[in-house]
Order: sequence, then C-alpha cells, then structure tokens
Amino acid sequence: MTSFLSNRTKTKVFLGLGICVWIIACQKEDAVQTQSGPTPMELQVPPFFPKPYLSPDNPLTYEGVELGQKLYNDAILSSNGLSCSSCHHKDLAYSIPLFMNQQGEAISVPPHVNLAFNPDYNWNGSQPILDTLCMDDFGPAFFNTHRDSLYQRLSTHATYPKLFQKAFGIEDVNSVEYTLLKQKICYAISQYMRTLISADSHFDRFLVKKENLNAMEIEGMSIFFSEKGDCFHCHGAPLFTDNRFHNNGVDSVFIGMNQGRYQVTGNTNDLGLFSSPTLRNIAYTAPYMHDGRFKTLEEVVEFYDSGVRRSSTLDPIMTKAGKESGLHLSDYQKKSLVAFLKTLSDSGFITN
Amino acid sequence: MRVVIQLTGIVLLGIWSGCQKEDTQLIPPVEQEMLVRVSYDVDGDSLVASDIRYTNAAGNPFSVNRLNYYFSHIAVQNLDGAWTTLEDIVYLDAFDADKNTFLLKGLAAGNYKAFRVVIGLEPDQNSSNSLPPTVDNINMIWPEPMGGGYHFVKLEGYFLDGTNSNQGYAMHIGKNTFHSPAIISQSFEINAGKDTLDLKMNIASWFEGPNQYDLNIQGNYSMGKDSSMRKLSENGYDVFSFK
Repeated sequence: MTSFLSNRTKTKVFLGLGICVWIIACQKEDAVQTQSGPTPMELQVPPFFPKPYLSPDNPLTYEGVELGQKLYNDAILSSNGLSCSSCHHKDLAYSIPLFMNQQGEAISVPPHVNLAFNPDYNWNGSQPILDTLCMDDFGPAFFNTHRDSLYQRLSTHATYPKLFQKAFGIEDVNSVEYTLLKQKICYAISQYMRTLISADSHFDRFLVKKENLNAMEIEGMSIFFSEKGDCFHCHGAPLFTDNRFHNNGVDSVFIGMNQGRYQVTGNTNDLGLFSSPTLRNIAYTAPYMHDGRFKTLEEVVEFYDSGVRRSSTLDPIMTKAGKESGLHLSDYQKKSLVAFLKTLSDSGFITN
Repeated sequence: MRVVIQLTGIVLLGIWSGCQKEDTQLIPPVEQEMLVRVSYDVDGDSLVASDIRYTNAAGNPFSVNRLNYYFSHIAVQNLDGAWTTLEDIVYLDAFDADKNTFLLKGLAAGNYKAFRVVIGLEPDQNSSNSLPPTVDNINMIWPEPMGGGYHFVKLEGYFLDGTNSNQGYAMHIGKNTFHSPAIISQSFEINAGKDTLDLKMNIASWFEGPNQYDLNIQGNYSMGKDSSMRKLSENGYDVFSFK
C-alpha cells in the first residue's frame, strides 16, 4: 500500500512537471510568435452596431493601423503633394466640400465614417472592397504617383522601413513588386479607416440618457422616425444608412455621373440610384447629394419637402400617395428636422 | 445464507430494473438536420426583379423589386397532431440566394402532417432591439414612434395605375398582431435521405385571398395604415406551398 501511494505521488510529480514544461513551452512559443508578427487588433465596435466587414486577407493589427494612419496623412504617396487627408479632413468628418473629377464633374467627397460597416464604396458602389479602395488613387486623378520616386522615398525614410517590416514583415520595400507594394499600402490605410468609428453623437448620448434633446430636436426626431418625414427607411439607426441604392428624386434625366449605379451595372433599373450615405456627422460634410448641389441641410430638407423629381426609378418609398412631390412640412417642422440632423454630430470623432 | 441470497436477488433485480428504465429514458429520438429552401414565383411565372410583367388579382400590372421578411415559430405537426415548434428566427431576402436557405436542427426524423411558420414576429419577440443588431435586422427596424419592433415584411416594386402611369408601391407589414401564420397542410418526411424541404412563395397571393388588394384603391403604401396591413397579413396565410 505504501509502495502504491509512493508511485502515485511520483506519478503526480511527473505529471505536474510535464504540465509545467508544456505550459512554459507554449508560453515561449507564444512569445516568439508575438515577437515575429504583427499584433492582432480587435475592433472596438459599439454593442448596438452590426458586425464590421473584416477581410481575412487583411487582418487588423496594431502595426498595420499605425502604418495606415501615417500613410493616410502623408504626401509621400503622391508626386503632387496630396495625401488621403487632403480630401478627407478630420475636422470635416474625413471629407472635403467637393472634388472635381477628370470629366470636370463635381463630386461630393464621401466622408470616412463607419466604413467598416459598408458593403461597398463610392456613390455608385463601384468599389466592393475597402482593402483595395485606394488602389486607383495612385493614378493621375489623385496622387499621380511616380513609381521610382515612391520606392526611393519609402525605402530611405526614417521610419517607414521599420513600420512596413512590423506591419507586413517586409524587410525591404525595394524588393516588393509595385502592384503588391500599392496593395500593402492600401491594406494598411484600410485597416486605419476601419478604426474610424463614430457612435458618440449628441443623439447617442440622448439615447443612453447622458444628454437631453431640446423640444425642436425631439420634434425633428419624431419626423425623422415616422411617416411624416420617412427618413428612417434609408437612413435608419444605428448606422443612419441602409447601405442600399436608391433614386431619391434629385434628377429625372440621367446623364454622366448622375446615372449613378447604372454606371456599374449597366441595368436601366439602376439609373439614378446612389448609395445612401450615412447621416452621422452630416452637419460636417456639406455640400450634399452626390454632386454637392445643396449647400446646406436646410436646402436638403427643402428638396425633400417640395423638390422631388419623378422618374421610372424613383424609389417606391418616395411615391406615397399624397406625397409624390415631397413631404409638405411646415416651416417649424423643417427647422426641427434640421435641428435633429445636427444631433448626429460626434464632436469627439473629429477632435480626438 | 438464504436471507443473504434473497437480499442479493432483490438488489440485483432493483439494479436491473433501474437500468432498464434508464435505458428507456436515454434513447433519444434520431435527430435530423433539415435544410429549408425557399423559392418564389408569381402565379407560376418565375420571379424576375424590377419588371412590370405580373398582374395581381385586382388587375394591377406590377413588378417586384424587393422582398424581405422574417420566419419565426417554425413548427412541424407530428402524426399525433402535436406541434413541435423551433425557436429559430430567420431573415429572408427573395433576391439574395444566400438568404433563401436555412438549416433547422433539433427535429426528429420521421413523418409529419404539416408545416407551419409565422411570417413576421409574434408580440413576445417584436420589441425594439430584441434581435441582434445584424445589418439585416437593423434595416428591418420599425421605428419606436410608430410602435417599435421590426418590419415583418417589405414588399416593394412598381405598378401601372389607372392612367397607366408608373407608380411605386411599398407593402410594409409590421406592428404587433399583424404577423401572418402560414400553414402548409401536406404531409412530408424528414430522414437522412430526405433532409431538404422546398418551399415556394407565390408573391401574387399577398394581393388576394381572403382580401383582394387593389393598389389603386387600398393605396400604394401600407406602413402606418392598420387597415392595409391587416388585409395583407391575412392574405399571408396561404402564400407558401411545398415545391
């Protein structure tokens, strides 16, 4: 019996030692992995938001986001002094008033707000993947990037070589083929853009009883979320976009970029359809509509009140009997709606 | 000694009978996963998006541009008449192939008399933010000022009105009590060799039986109009059949 207990004790000791060795071995292995690769980052998503669209090909890492943020704000990518932030000012919710394309058309620059939750990008949804969204930006219309100059500037820069190494394991940017290098740059920038989450507006604070809305804002909220304004179908909470394509009646004849989604699909049912923009931070992102035709929120509300143009693709939601040409709100109701839209501003998003 | 033998016998008998009982209780019914596939037509005409090619019972030429809805309280009727109800809530989109199939788990293999679903949500499930905030669910939210909860059905498209003009229509159903119990009283079997159930929605049925719904008369917009939503929800009971 004594001998049996002794053996059991020995067994326990050996088992314990074995477990300790295994734990230490595993810890060592983890440490090695951490040292050799970028550190995975978990996106901090508000509990009332949907899951973000993440790419298995471009997992979010602290090092990738750091590199992306630096590149986003740096003119090193261009030959003309432009950076991403030239057209996406932080204080304008990462937007600017207007951009003129090569066809001479004015485009309202989409803000970089909650892009992690978008299934596609640009007004007509021409880009389905955030990770490669900026690949075209190296062309003449934006950065007009000079290939050799880009290699030279990145490889001789004081910090970029180390940042690329940490984010993607690239020891020498000169050894990376040009298309792949641009892809890695876009991967880093898209990782950073995914972190631009806005969910702490005055309205959000009202919902959790941290702040109050005034009477006019409350009136505007009830118009927004009811049949009176019927804004919620395309701009419902919490994202304030349904991320779908609609013809909201700004045009009845569709030429050039006013053709909207049709330019991507070639389907005549898509003439004049555009992706619903988020209304979060809308007060910072004037002018409005895809071509920036409305300078103020007051003009936008006036359009929905009386200026809707009918066409065969006008969204069914906007053809309600009695409201064919608009909402017919009173002046007070229109002002209230504008007041509510301004509660969607997240001042911390543009300052922190 | 005799007493010992007797006692041992009683104990063994007890153990044996206990084991017997336990065995009976532990034998679970054979569970079979069932794949449900939903397809769509309009009175036998295949579903084509955004084309005014169909005519409803009231004579309105119409198209279908969007159809989103929920299934809940999915149930099968056993041969003895009892219903087995599952807790799944499923979001469906007629124009998204990925959102027209779903897997049901926990059903026993065997024969069944009928299949039943609720189109929409019953009041105990239909409150604001009661569903996880998926992209699909947040786009189905029924705003709080209008009663809260979720849209049960969004059926949208265009139709030609009395003057042959192109008009939009938006048949939205929501709000408690306007869910539609839909029953297919037809026997079916679930087993390893027959693990798929094919349902078909006849979209035209939303506009007829028991209530003929004329878009020119009842209106092209149902949200906020209880009388319209009631008519539509009552029409939902027979929109599905087995394919």
